[in-house]
Amino acid sequence: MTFAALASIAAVGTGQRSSLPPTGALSAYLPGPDESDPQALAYALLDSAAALAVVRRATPATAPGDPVPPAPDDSLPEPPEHVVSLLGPLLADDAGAIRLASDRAYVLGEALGLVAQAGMRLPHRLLGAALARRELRASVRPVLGARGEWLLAQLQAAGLDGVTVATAGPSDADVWERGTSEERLAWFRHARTVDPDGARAAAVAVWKESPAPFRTELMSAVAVTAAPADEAFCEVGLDDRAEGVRFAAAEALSRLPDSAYVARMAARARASIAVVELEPGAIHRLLKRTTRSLRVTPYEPDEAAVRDGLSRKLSSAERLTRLVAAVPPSLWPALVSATAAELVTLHQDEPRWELVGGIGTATLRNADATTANVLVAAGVMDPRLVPLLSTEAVLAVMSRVPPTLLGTVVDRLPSPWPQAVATAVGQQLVGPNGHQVRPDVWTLFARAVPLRLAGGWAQRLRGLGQPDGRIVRNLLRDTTSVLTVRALIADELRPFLPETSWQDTQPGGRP
Amino acid sequence: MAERWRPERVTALAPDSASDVAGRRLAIPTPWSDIGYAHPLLWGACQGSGASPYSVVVDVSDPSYRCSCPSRKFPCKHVLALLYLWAEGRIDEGGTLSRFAASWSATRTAGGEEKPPKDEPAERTEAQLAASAARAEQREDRVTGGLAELDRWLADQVTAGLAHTRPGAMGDLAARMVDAQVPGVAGRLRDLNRRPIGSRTGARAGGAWLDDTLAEYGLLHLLSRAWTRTDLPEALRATVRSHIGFTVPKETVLATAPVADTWAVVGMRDSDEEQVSTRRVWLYGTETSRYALVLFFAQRGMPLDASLVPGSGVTADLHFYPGGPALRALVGDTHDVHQRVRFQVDGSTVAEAVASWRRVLAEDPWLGSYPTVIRGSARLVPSPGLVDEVGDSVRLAGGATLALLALTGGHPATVFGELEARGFLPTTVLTDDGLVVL
Repeated sequence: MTFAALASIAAVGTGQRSSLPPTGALSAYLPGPDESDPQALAYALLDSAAALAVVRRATPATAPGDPVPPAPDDSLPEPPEHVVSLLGPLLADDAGAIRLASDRAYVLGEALGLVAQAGMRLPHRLLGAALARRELRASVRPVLGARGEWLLAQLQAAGLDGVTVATAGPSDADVWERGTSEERLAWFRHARTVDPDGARAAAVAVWKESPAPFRTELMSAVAVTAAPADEAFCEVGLDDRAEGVRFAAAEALSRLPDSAYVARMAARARASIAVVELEPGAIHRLLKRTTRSLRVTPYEPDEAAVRDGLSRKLSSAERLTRLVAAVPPSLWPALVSATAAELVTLHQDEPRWELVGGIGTATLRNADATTANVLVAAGVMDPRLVPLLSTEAVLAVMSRVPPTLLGTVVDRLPSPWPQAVATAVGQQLVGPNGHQVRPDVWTLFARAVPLRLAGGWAQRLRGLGQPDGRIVRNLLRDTTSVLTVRALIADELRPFLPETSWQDTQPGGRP
Repeated sequence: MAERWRPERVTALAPDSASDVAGRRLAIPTPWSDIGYAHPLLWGACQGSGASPYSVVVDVSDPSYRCSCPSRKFPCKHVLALLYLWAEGRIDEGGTLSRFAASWSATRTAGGEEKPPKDEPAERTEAQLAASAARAEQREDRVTGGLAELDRWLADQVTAGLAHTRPGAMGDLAARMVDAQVPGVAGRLRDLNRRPIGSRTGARAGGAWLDDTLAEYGLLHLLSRAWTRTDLPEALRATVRSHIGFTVPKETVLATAPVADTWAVVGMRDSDEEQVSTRRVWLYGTETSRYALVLFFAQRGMPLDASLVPGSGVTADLHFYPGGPALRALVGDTHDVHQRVRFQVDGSTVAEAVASWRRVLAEDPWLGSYPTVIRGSARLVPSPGLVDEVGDSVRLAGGATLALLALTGGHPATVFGELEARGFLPTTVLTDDGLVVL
């Protein structure tokens, strides 16, 4: 009798039975039943259970199957031991030295990037923790080394590591064919960055049978990486039955300055917006004011304009914003004999704030840093433009905004910040009005301070001691911890890093 | 200068995981000042939430420690953080001894001289001895009654059917076993009571729960019957008494013949039960090739003994408890401590390891797992396993499988671990540099 058969009898109970099945060879070792005991059957079952339980324990589970080839040797070196001791808790996501999980994730990503730049790999003992966290796969992959790649292949072959968003690449055709919508979109977005034409062809092949939300996401992904070769595909998208697709197609086309779409929108803009010369009066001469003025005629869309996204359902202000947003700033001098910056400063018959928003959007779409800087110099305060600004312009914007709005400006700056910006933000934080700064600026600051300044700022923040207020103390402690760990890792790896990855070309001050 | 601790030893010293996490969070230079180390003293000042920093001092040889913070955890996070900093090589020899550290060290030295020697058995009068014998006899009666009740209860359960098991029934019985002074049985019942009950309908109702419950019921029945037998060999009788929960006085164990060796710590597992934390440490004699199990107990929230950390070793006399197989031991005289121990061992094949496990089970059928060392290649495909040179395999179980694969890369390795019904639970790998903890 097997243990499973015995367990089935026990589940129902011996009270329902008059005998037990024979136990076979085991019966020689078991006591005979006591006929006088009304529960003899139960005790006999317990005797058998004891014997079979020992047999069961004495037979550990096996793992049949052919062995796989072992991992090849690693040729890359490991990071210094201090870096490894800091990476361990970060990979295990232990609170350790850094309290906030988001801070740990940031510091870990930066550290793994530095290890990769230093031409090193993770030590074998950290590979388990590194591969257990799939969300880290993109940053872990370059530092896996031969052993890590072997282990990852084992995990995937065992079905213990599904193809993830981070690992999906253009070669993973299976993901595009069989993945979930989310996985397919991740594949598509990735493919657009490495093989945009191939990715577009893949989208075209499935376009007709794809539902509207999926088509919208595909077209949105194309919009972010639009290139002239996408123009025909996007023009077709303007006729799509789904509004989201049409909107994304218009967005994509407006990023192509030489496209027919932009030419159509520019022609409409010329018809709607004009710069006119006024007869200069005495007051103009006295005040040295310009005699030019901006005149905007509300645009009434025809069928072609509706197809291009200037729907009749929109208000005239919204239509004007869309129209202006589709015109690259560099075209304005040829259209109206005035630059984009002049358009926002010229005298207007009535204030046209939507014009400013539209020009800002066009500046962003075309990544027109020159116009962005000129707009800011002219007084336009559009935080979206911050990533395009020079360091000096960012500093100018920061000096104009109150401490409470500092976060709105700096949270759009890519990391690491220029040294001068980091210094200015740090001085705001530790200055007399530091308590007015949004708490997330402390977090941004801890992460975005250039590596070579991190140690110095950690030292300076430590010198502040224990300020009043638990929240401020916690912010200070968390920021100092992040800066300290970043500095420790960077200092250890610095001898192995290429000089370019360490030097910041931006001029600036010191902490 | 003594060998620097490894971070694992600091982790083992933490009274609980929360303290460990808090300690590691503070293990960065940020909050620390006036740090220094002059063997065996380690000191520093940690800026906490108060106006003045907390003073911390540790004697790493003992180890003992003191912190001026008000925490009830012992050691507190500041002590752990300082030890982590030292273990990670961020505190070098040097620094000016703080007044706090100097004062504590002086007080301790003065107090230490007056301490009575440890483990000195107190002399007892004849009356006390008679009372003790009467209590022992009374306990045996209670145990006999308790185990008889246990056996009846088991039979009732099997008669009525395990599918009708009332949730919490085993917990109630465990409480009665505590009253009957059968703590070993009570513990096993509490373990069983914690397991989730699966579906109790259908042909294979309950699945793993049903199998595990019946197996444990069978073994408890065997224990109950074994207690009533007067013809058991002495070693088996001692084994039965130990599983019931009879303790053997420490002085009795220390009076047995010592087994001297350099013992490598090859595994460690902590568990908490109600108010008591238990640490099970597996040792391997590098000369005698014997295994030993050392248990440490502490009140919940208090630190467990951290003198034996996996990867380290100790040259010491071990005294084994009576009963077979002789596994549980006490550490007697310690002659040397090794932060890392290097030795050679020919790992068993899977068949040899299983044969040893079976021999041990024949001596002690209630034993849950057994330490062993297997020479084999780890793999994940087609199923997690350790394959020896002749192609026999054992399933890899537990949470260290991925770490073992990462460390060995599928190459043959000498792996220590515990063998049990689920398979092999790896704990450490022997390398040229000694044991590496998984």
